[in-house]
Amino acid sequence: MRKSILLSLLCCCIWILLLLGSCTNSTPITSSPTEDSDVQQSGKEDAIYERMFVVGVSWQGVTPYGNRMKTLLIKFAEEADYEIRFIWMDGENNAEKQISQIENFIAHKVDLILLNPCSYYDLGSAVNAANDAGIPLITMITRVYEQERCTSFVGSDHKESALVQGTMVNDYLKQRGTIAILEGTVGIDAQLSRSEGYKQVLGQNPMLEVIASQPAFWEQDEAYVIVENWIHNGICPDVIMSQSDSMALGALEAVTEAGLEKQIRVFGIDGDREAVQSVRDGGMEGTVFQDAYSQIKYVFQCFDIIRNGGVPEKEYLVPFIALNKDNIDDEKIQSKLQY
Amino acid sequence: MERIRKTRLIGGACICIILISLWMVMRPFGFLNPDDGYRYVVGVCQQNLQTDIQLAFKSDVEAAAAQRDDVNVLFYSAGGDLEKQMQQLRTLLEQRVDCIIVSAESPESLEPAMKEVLDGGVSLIVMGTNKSQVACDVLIRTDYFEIGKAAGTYFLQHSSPICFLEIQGNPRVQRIRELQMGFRSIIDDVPNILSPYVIVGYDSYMVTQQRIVQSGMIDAMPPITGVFAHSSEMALAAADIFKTYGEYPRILSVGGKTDGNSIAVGDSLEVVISVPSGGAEAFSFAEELMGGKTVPNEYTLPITLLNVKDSENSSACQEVLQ
Amino acid sequence: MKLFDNLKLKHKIIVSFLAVIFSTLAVLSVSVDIFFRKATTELADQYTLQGIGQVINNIESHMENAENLIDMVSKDSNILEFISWNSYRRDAVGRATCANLRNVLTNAVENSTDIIGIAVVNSHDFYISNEMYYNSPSPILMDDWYQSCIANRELTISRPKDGRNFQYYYNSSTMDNIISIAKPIYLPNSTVPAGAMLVDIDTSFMQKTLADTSWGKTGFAYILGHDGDVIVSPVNNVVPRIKHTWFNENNSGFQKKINNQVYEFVYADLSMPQWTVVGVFSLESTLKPISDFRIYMGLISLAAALSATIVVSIFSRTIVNPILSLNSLMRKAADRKLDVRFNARYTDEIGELGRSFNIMVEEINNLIEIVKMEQLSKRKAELQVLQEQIKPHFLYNTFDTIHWIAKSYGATEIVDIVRALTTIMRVGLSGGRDCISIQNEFDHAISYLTIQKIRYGEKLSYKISLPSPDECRELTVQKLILQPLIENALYHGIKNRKSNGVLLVKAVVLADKVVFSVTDNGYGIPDERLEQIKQSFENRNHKHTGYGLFNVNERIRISYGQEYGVKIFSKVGYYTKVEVHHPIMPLEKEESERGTD
Repeated sequence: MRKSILLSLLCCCIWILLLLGSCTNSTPITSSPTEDSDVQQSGKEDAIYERMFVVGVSWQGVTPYGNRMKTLLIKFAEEADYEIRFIWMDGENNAEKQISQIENFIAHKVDLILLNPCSYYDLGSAVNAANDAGIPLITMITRVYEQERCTSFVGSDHKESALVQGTMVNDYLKQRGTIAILEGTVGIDAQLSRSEGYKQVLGQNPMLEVIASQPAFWEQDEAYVIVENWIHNGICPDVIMSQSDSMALGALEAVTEAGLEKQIRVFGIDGDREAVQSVRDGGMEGTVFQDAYSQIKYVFQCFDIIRNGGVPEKEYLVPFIALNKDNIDDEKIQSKLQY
Repeated sequence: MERIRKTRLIGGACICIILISLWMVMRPFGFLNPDDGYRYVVGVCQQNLQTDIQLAFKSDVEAAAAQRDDVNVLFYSAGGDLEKQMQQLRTLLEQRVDCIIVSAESPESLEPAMKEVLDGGVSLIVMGTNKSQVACDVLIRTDYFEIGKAAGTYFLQHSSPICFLEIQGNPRVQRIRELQMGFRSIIDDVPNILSPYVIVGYDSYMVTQQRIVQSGMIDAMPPITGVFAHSSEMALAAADIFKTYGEYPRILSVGGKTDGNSIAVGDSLEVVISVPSGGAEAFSFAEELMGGKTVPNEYTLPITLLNVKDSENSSACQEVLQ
Repeated sequence: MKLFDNLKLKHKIIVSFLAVIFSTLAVLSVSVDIFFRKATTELADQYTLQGIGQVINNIESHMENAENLIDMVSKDSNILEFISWNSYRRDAVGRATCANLRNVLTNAVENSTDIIGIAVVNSHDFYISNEMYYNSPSPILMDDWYQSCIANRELTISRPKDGRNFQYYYNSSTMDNIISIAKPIYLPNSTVPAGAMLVDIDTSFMQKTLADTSWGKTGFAYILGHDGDVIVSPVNNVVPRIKHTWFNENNSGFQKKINNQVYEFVYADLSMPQWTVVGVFSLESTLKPISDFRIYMGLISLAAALSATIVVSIFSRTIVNPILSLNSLMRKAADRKLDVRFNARYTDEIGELGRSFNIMVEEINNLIEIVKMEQLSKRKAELQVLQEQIKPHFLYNTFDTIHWIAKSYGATEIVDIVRALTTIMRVGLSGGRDCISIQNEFDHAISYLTIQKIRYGEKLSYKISLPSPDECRELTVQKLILQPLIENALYHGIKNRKSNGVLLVKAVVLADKVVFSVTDNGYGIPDERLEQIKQSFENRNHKHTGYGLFNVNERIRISYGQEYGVKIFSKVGYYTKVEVHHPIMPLEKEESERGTD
């Protein structure tokens, strides 16, 4: 009997030892001291590498035509045989902001500045700053007042676009009718020139009456609101002439909502893809195509010239092309229409 | 027999004592205590914190929550980014909050994330407009149509003839359209009230001023004698810019801090239609939902008209139009 | 206790085992709980504090770097120039200063891993910045950060307010991951700040350092601001439930219950900014090994109890059951069923007990047989005695008559024979006693011999030798020892002789015994026959021997033991000697004889 008690005690001891042994297998909290690792900044620009060709781009705002230019810039940059890096900035239609942005570019010592001005008169200090720093400044799409102090201008003659549109409208209206005008941001070269063009072309024909005119600041939504208000207040012109396709589409939306798309025809400028499609479908009556592809081609020509130490031309102008359902399927134009 | 029973009894009692002590030792100590942390957590997800109305909403919720010390409120704002707001809703769901309050211009665009929230068993309160249709536990409506009508009615009652400038927020947003429709429903039928001008101010002070100037509203013919601004920032911008040019149209603003201090008191700024931010109501619905009480599926916020000129005694001359 | 002692053996064992097992378990559980729980919690606390220390070091070094950079930048001459203006100068000098200043700011931002934007604000309400723009008509001087920084006249750190007016060109998301450092800038020899610098720091390094540090299996850490709002934290369902008032009321290392789990909170303060780094881990999962241990203990104790029961049943098979069966056998034996035997399978103590039991029962059986037999012989002898007792009176009287008649006829030989016969009878009966004196025995033997002599005539002659001291003759011996011997000697020895048969009858008193001997010079007994006889004596089987010797031997041996009894010596052709060894018995008063003469 004594022996069995001893035996069971021994067994108990063995059990306890086994238990304690297995307990140390449960993972204790291990310490792995971390080193002070390098922190990656999020949303911060990397250092600029000198072997790249760095271009600072300041847009007037977010516009469809601007996006076309941007897409083309990127495409051309991929096909170029040197490394190009763009720094994109949105001026948000604010001159002060754009000036700051350009000064920022200068501080970052970019190789070239592309400026899509949001104002005609107010960007002088940016131009001066770029000149002082010796950085070439190319204005795109529209000009600035101090254009001769800029390195170059690449774009089209906006007055020409207004004249082209005016002619289209004239032809459509068969020399008589009422017109409402949607203008872009007041004070931009495009708006100023196009307005001047309108004055010219409409002044030629007194049977064309302008019954309303309001700036829609290149915004589709604002154009919609304004046209909707016009219609609500009984202002129904035969034609709405819009200084840009973005506004034209907004106007078209309002007109279609009111069910008046047959009575009120909308014309735009720029030849944005949606507008072109709309012309094809019979929504918009016509648009004036701005050849972004050729413009960007000129821009890259400037790049090459500047890189090789030369001085580019003071301006590179690309002609506008009138588009309506008659010539929209023309093969010559087709290739350009994709940009 | 007696002995056997006694043995069994005592043996059973011993075993019971041993088992009970084992069980008590095996459970963690203090297992009967209640939780120490916040009993309720409310998540507030706002589209942005830029506009006055959103700031007012947040401070109203904070004030209401300060009354209770067992509720924690988490505030998230998405800076206008819808994707980010949906991500924040998902984060709140992951944090297992008890109730989520969502404030966005178009709550319909947040539906995927809101559905996940409802599926996750979290109560959902949404701030919306008259026409909003979303699946949630409580939809707090602000009837902008009525507000528009109230604005129209006010001008109808107080001045004529008049030529209006309407300053809109983002026209794609439901509440703006309702405001406009409400406003028009009153003044359209009145022949001597003209409202030929509409501009879009995007709820921004600077944009409004730029638009007013560049659209030629200053020199408009006939001159503008009344302004209906969809938000207080835009009303203030209009007041300042017209004042700069020496003009003083009557300005009616939708929304603004109820004490009127956010609006520079000037002769031009007449009246504020005070739109309650809905923060206090949202929080009280949240309290009831978390407490397990039944709540109505919809609720419409009341609106009040405030005369800024008497802003110190604003409560004394409130005209409740609803 | 009596209750326990009275339990059956099996139950006693089981109860003892179980008591030992469960008491061990309880003691172990409680002590492990107390000791290890505390130790593990402290260890986890220390480990977490270590982690927190690392985080704090990391953050503080980042902040120090930022501050140093800010300090350096704030002393730049371009900044001082900018601050000294009364309005934003757009002339050549102004532009140059601004360009340089932008360079300085850009370099500062690029050379720091954490600074994402710097704005320098002049007290005349204009500013310069590369990354930020001011999005409101209100004066910059009314901004909270500016006011507090100018009022406090020192570096202030704050989280950007919602809807802050300074916003970024790119990355226009909310100010979630930013803290702002505001520093007043003084012109030389001035005690009033002429402007301020707003420096935004990206706090993602804080999130990274929190995420990179290891906090154990269930732990995490977060950063708490000084007004109770959470600066940086991982996404889980615990942080929203934490009340920041706990940190004011308790010291580092308190426990709270959240979501039905107990969490341990360990924290330490950052100096710049004044935040707290809090480490949280679930006590239950940290102490899970201990809980698991308990469960293991429980399981193993159950297994132990089970195996204890099995062991007990095995135990009982070898011990308890044999005991029980032995018990029942003994009961049966006590009931006089003496045919039971224990089947001892093992050689342990129980087996030995069983075997002893078996032997005992055998012995009892044998003893009972012997007693039976003894009783039987006794009864037979009694019967004989009884039979013999029936005759004496009649025989005595008859002998008396014969004696008288013979004497009247003068037949002396008849008188002698009758006298001898009377003696034989008297001694043979001895009043029913078994033991008589040696003298009497010899008288009996002599009387017998006298009668036989008359028959045998010249063939027989005899010699008698009594023990020498006369007192010895009074020693008590069994009766009818000599007569059978003499009879044997006569019939087997003397009778076969032709003549000169001699008989010697002797008794010698030794120290411990009396030796009677009867020697005759008869033919003798051959060895085989002698052997036979000895065997008969040994086996107590009187088949091969005359009844007389056997009877004497048996009587003496039964009464006095194996060392006494009959011994036979013989040499063939010469003699036969029969000895009877008899112990010395104490003297006895002879009872009054019944017989005559």
